Amino acid sequence: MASKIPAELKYSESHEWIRVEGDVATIGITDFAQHSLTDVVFVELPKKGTKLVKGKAFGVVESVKSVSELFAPVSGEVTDVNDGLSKTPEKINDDPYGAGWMLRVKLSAKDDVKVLLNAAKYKATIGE
Amino acid sequence: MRVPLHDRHAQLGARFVEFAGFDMPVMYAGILEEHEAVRTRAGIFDVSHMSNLWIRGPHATDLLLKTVGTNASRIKEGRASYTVAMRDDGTIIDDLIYYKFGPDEYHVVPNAGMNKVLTSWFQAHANPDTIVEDVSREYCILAVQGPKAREVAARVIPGSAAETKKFQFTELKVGKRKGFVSGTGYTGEDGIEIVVPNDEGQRVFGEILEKGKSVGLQPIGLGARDTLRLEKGYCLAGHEFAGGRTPLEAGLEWTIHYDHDFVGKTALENQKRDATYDRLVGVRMEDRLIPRQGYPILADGAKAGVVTSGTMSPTLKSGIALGYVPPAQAAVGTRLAVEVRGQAAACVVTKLPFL
Repeated sequence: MASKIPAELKYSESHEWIRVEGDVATIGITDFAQHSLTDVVFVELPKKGTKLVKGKAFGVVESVKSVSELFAPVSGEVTDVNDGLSKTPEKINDDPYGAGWMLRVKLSAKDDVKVLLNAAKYKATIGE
Repeated sequence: MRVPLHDRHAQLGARFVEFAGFDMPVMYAGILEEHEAVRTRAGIFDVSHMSNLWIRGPHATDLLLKTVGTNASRIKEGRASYTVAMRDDGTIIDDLIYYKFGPDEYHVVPNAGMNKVLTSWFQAHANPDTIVEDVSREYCILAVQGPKAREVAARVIPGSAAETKKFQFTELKVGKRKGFVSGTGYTGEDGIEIVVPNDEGQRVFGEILEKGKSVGLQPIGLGARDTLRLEKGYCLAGHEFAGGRTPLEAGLEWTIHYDHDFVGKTALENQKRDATYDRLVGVRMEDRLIPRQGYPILADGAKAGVVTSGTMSPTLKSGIALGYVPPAQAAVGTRLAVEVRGQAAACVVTKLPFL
């Protein structure tokens, strides 16, 4: 199955994607991740102002049968949360890189982004 | 292990999960879609991983009287009985359905992976002239469930077997072997279960899928099987019986007849007198958080019980769970909480079935 892996994004090994614009990053989970989870029925995200720590769990995404942690690909402060996902978590399945976005974060360390995987490297890690 | 229809499921795009030592389809099109299909149209489940035993001989009824909760001598021929086999201390070994072909012949369906345990159990209590035969790997079990289930099954199964009433069964002759169609199921919807030798099972599965296209019948995996049964408050071995639970605790006293001597009877009678035992209850979440097996149930902030099964109900669109609580917290309407990742998520004890 060929997942969508937009070339302009960066990726973590735990299947989060990140779009960087200046010192603001938008974060979500990849097409591969949503396909593995199947129907997302619940997502738990931190509040605005929360400080994320790179590599640490910042929330949870649940399918009917499973609970999966979300891991911060970068460190920074949460500036925006996609609150719509609490009513329509299925956006994460339908449009993981668009309407399924989860958080915006003000980066505290720009270098965090450098060590993330590019599209080609992420594609290789998921064996496609 | 694989069920006989494994390759067919793979062709249909099934995702597999390990269950009781078997690779089983957990979903095909998706759990939510499959759940809705069964509630509004029809679905076919392959549950051939479950177990099948024959108990035959002049003392077959005596054996069942001794080893399971319902009184087999009062069950009529052509009827199915859902009950439990218990240990001496009254705790449930397994839940099962037995089908009375006659006073000397019963077909028993215990859970997947329980065939060896139940065969030994029956053999240990049997007269020398009673034969307990494990035919689990020779039979397919296909459940066709949903408002349109019988309509589709009638296009595939001979005679009026598809009309078999609830908890009755109709014998099918498949060459020299016996099979049957029963008015049973685990979804709470109308439907039947078809128990036939493997080759026939392959044929029936394919034909039901084909003939069911016009009503929107779909193949259904174990994922939706779980959400469907949980909405109805049905127990699942490994969850509601885990750790040693009696039928009184599990809300299954209705599967016990006290008018015969069975293993576990004295323990149940003692427990009933004592009455302080935990009760299995249904809770409906008032919070968005989803309850899961193993999460603590809190009463006034203190740990009172535990969740045995939990999910997001696709029909109700809220979290639902089964769990054990002490009798003081068991009344419908009691406000409790489920501890989810360190947070107390409000819930209320709800009458079963949830829908």
